[in-house]
Amino acid sequence: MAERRDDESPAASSLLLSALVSRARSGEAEAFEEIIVRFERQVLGTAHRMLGNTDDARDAAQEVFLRLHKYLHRFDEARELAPWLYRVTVNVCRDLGRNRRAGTTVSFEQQQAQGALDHLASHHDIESEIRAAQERQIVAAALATLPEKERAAIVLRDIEGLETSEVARILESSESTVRSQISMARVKIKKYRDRVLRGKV
Amino acid sequence: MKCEKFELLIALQAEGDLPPQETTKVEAHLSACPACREFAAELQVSQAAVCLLSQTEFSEAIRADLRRSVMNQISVRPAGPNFWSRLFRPLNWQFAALAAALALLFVSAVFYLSRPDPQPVSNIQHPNEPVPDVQPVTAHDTGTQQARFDKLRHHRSAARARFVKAPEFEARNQMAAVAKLPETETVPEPGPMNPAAEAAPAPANDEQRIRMEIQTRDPNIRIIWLVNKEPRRTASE
Repeated sequence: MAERRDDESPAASSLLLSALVSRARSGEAEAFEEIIVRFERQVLGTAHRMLGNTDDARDAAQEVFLRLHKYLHRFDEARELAPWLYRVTVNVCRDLGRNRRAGTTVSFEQQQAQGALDHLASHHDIESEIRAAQERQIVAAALATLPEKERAAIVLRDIEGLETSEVARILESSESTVRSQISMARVKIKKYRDRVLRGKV
Repeated sequence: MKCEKFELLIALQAEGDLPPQETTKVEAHLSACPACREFAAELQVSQAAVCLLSQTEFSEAIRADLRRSVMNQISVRPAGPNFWSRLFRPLNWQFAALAAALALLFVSAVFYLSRPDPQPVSNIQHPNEPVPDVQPVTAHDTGTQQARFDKLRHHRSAARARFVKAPEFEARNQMAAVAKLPETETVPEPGPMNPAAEAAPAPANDEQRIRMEIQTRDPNIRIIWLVNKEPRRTASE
């Protein structure tokens, strides 16, 4: 979801976003950059979970924001923006995944080298952070093994925290289908994790 | 229900995605099945690991790089829709679809109306069609009557086929002009290929027949018609 400043209420945030969209539509570059700032975590995070590596996620995010700039004139209300960005992110990631051999993941060391895990070093409990990072890596690898639709459904539902109905709307599918995809994905991730922890993968 | 099928329900129940009545069913099964209880516990741990992914943070360097590259590309691209989008933007798409349907209908109507008229295959006149110049039908002596009639019918069919297939044919201009033929004009004799015609009995009186000959503009095509003056009486009459 859109990044909200600590001192903003949801209503104020929505109003501010509407104003930003309006200004960006009239060609104000600073307003559009502010929109990027508000949504870059959402777009980058979703793309990273869908694609499994930072470089592809950055490319996908760039394409998403370029499309946003192109179609910004279509948005009458700013509240349409977050679901639209999720939908476009999923679509862009699907296209990129098909073109670039979806599901390639990078190692923990590579992620550190890319700066994606910079925040870990500042923590006191290094050991628990490393364990959490390993868990994340296992789950990311498990996500890469899922079919595209199941991956998109579980990323939006369990990682982005959207409601099932919202996920269904974003993926343009029915709620029952999305629920089925989510349950399949959860079971598969659990079984993948079990195999990794037992040394079978 | 087998435990395997409960796995999918347990996976939904873990995050509260199951309707209440199915939740009750799953809970009842869990209380009775240790294996599924263990599965549910492991799934909770797995889900906690999945949720850890939401904490993945990208460094400011990555985000700044993204912003820079997007803004650089935007500065060289014009904002808003491209030429074609601007061209069609004012159109309501429902209106556009209706206009397209009307255009298609118009083109179909023009195509249909510009087709040539259906070509006549007989000399039966349409009520609204102008009657061609017709000279009065005259009686003509006929010698072989029924056999000739059959033979002529065959000739007429062949002539009509040629008439209809002629490329220069025009329905009205090429319409037959009825003309009286000179008395010397004779009808081809029935050949050996038509024994039935030869076997046909000749009528007793040729005066009872009317011979009508129609010369088309094609000199090779002549339509000859033989009819009885009076309807032929049957045995029952």
